[in-house]
Amino acid sequence: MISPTPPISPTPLTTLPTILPTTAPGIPPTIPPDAPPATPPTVPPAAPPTIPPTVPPEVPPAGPPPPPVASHKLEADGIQLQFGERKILQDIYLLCETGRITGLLGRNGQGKTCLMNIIYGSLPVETKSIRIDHQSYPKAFKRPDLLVYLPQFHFIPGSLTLKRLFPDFGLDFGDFEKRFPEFSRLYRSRIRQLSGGQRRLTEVYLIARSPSRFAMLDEPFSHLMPLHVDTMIEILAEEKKHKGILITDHLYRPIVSCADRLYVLSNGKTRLAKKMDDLAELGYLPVD
Amino acid sequence: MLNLLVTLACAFLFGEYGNRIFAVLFWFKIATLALVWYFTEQYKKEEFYYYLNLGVSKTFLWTTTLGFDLSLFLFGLIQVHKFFKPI
Repeated sequence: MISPTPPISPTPLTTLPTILPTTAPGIPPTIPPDAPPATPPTVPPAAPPTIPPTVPPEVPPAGPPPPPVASHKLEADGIQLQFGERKILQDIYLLCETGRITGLLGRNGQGKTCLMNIIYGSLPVETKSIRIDHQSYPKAFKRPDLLVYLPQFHFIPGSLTLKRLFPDFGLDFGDFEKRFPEFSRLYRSRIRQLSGGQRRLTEVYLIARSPSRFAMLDEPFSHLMPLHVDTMIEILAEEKKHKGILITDHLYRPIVSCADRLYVLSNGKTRLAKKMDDLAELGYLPVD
Repeated sequence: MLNLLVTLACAFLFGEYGNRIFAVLFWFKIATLALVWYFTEQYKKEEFYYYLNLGVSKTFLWTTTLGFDLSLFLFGLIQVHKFFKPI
């Protein structure tokens, strides 16, 4: 993971902080449900180094993270989604693992939110395969111990107080207060009394910290001030030690800085991005 | 709150007009429950994610709330019948 401290610029950053082997052929057009993932979690010994020697010294060498206590896999593929004649999703493979943050980028209207809703099970489609540890969960929303989801809109009822929310999610307000001291005086406030940024920060924190194997975050950094974005990236780095995190946002620099694996959703297909240039080649960033 | 007002209004009308309007009141109550369900699904659908993330399904939410409201309605009418003995 690249430290969030230095400013991230598309120009100097030439290599994504991925631990993927550079020899991986990428995601094939169709992946059978029981096929091994195209991105094995362990790098073969014979694989060439993932970081070329030209990488700036401040970028830590990419390598496998410390082995997590319990490793779990969330896989999604075989997804077909179309609205009328327009095919939105047709060739998807996505892997999210404990110990890693998986980023999902894509232009507007490419189906990122739809894909998250399909994984969560709240958007029914004709065909899909959503698996956690090789077991199918077509309605993952029924298992918050396995998967929690932060939608891109405010989802906490405005009448609830912070005092009520944290026990609901099995969390301690004190930990939240340590990270964000400005919330101390808001303990008894209702959610609707918070500002938009405060409300979003609370929502992101609750979902990110929830005791679940996986967390999906849709636009967690939007509406947050930069200081809080940095703090949230630190929190996600802590949380990924014992859960898998799938994250998407149009604020792509925080995503790139914290993601261990990055997919770009383009023309209904997920493609692995291994370096910053891939984002431009896949039409997500402007070509320099 | 709206459902409680409907229940109170129905209990009052039942006390005034008696058993002959029970069927009307019952179906009126069912219709208001359907309206509440429809508009809540339309305008509060974002908040369902809060309950889903806590493991509470929409089916459970609706079954318990609508079931409780209908039970309260019937209980109210029974009490009116018991104490005011409408014709």
